[in-house]
Amino acid sequence: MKVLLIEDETELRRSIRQYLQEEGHLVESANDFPSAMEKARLHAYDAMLVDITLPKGNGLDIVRALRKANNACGIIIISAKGSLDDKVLGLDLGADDYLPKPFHLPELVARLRALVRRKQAKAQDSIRVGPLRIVPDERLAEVDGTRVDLTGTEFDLLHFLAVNKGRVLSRSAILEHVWGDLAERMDRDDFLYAHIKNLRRKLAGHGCPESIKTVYGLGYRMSDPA
Amino acid sequence: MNLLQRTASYQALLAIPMVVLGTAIGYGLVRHMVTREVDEALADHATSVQQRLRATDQGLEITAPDVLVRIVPGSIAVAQFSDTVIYDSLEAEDIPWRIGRFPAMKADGGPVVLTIGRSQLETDDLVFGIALSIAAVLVLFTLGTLLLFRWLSARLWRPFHANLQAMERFRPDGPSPSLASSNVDEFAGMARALDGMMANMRRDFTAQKRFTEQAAHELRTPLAILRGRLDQLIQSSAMGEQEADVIQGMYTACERMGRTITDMLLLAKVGETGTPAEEVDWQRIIRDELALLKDPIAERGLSVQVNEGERCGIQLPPMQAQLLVSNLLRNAVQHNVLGGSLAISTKQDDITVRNTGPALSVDPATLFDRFAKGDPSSSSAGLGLSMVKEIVERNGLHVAYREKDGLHEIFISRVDPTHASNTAAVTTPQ
Repeated sequence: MKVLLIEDETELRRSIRQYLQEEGHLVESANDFPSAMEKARLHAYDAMLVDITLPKGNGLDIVRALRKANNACGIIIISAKGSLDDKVLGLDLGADDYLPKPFHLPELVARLRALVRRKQAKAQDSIRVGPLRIVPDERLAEVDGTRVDLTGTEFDLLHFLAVNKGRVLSRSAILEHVWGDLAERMDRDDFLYAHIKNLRRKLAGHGCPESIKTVYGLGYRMSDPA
Repeated sequence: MNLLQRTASYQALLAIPMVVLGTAIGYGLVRHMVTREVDEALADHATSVQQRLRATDQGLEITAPDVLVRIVPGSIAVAQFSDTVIYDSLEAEDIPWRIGRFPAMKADGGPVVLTIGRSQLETDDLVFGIALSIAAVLVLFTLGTLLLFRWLSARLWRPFHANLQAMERFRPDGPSPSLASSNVDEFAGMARALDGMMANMRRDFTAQKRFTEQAAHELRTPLAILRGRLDQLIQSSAMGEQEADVIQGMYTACERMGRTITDMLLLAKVGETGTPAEEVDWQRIIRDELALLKDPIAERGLSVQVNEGERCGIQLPPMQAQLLVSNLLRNAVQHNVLGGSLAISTKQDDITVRNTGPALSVDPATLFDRFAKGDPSSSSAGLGLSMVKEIVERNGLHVAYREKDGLHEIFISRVDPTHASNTAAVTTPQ
């Protein structure tokens, strides 16, 4: 997937670019308003990550200009402003998603994937991990064609791990993805552990080989069974 | 009692004894004068009877309904006057009389005592009439003065009351209330001083709010970099247990910082002008927030009880109502014990949250302060209850903490609990 990253903070730009490149995406970046406008006009991208506060301009104007020119590329606004007004305005202007800083990179990966799935109308888009198949739009998980009965939380967990297959996900990234704002206020580590345990048990019950690994002290990683 | 009522009551307090005293003095004076007149008339009468006695030896004894003359032998040195009451069989009532006893001499030189009396029925009526008139005039005059003063004060204090109302509506984030001008120097001076103070408050408030917002925004970008780098770092395969521990510590610190920034922004937001307070469906908000907390409640095995005593009439802007309930319930869930309980009840004028939990480790008086934390190592920033306080105070409500039957209780009310009853006063837990 070809992604344009518009972000003026050098360190953050490098960090996002490297992470997405390792995911196999093609990432181009722009660090100010004019260069971002130029790249957005000249090249076609599958998705754009747009920061609102930019040198020499406002990221929302880029969104407005692109949509006016009937550019249908997926747009995610990444902003430190985090005010509801900015979010509403951004989405009104035609942005597809809004991710407030500070976010976890696996979260960005999950949002990008969801965005492209919506854009390309791949309703049957599914993620495969060994014999396990996950269909996000139907919230369905199956092993060799047999449905695995999962609670909402367990499905969210499994989906997040699968979208970031092969990556180590920190507990804080997982908690924030699954429980959102609530995770911020409650000490939930034990709870996460219990859910992972249930998830493993259910997958194993369907004969799915162990695919969720505990990375000591840090979090979890899902990978294709060897 | 307002200023006008208080002034009027002081004036009335002064006026009542003056009316009573004035009437009494007036009555006494008239009474005294009339008595002297009557005594003079009796003496005149006596003189004419004495002359006739000496000339003719014939004393005219009279017994009429209003006059009485008697001559009896005897002697007194000087004239004596007295009041008495004589029963009148005709009128069938006691009649007051003024009696004078005078020394006299018959033609033959024998001493006699001349007793002359007059009925006081009519003069008494007259005196009472005059006293009543005095009282009526005094009362009317006093009432007139009171009314005049009241009207004048109301007029004079009008700019004061107008400005007082304007000040009550003042919010540092709202529009500037226009103060009534006055040609009374003191009021004009006060309006000038208030205008200056309001301008200062508004400026400080805006500056503080902007600073909080900017600080929060400026902190978020480096925090995003930090988190991103950590997310990259943990992908490294050359990670030992020790390194993992270090990184986990950094993640925790990042989360804590992120949470503090979010709360700071929310606190700044609560101070924002915006939607006015309105009727709130508290039961719906409570249900929604409890639904969000379903997992942590289950995890701690808490029993939850929601009591809707009466329809709660506390009004708030909708976002703040939700934030209030959310912070109250989260606080009650987080600072609870395994298998504990949580109860929230609403009444006409108040909302109460009761929960089990370990004994407070902070001074209850500082419980609602910013950054007050029960456990210093907790990753919570301690802004939850300060947000409750901020919302409550911003909307003219009251909040208090108390420990009752071993339960922690937070009590939000439209009426000041320290005035309403002593049971609601903030108490120190044992």
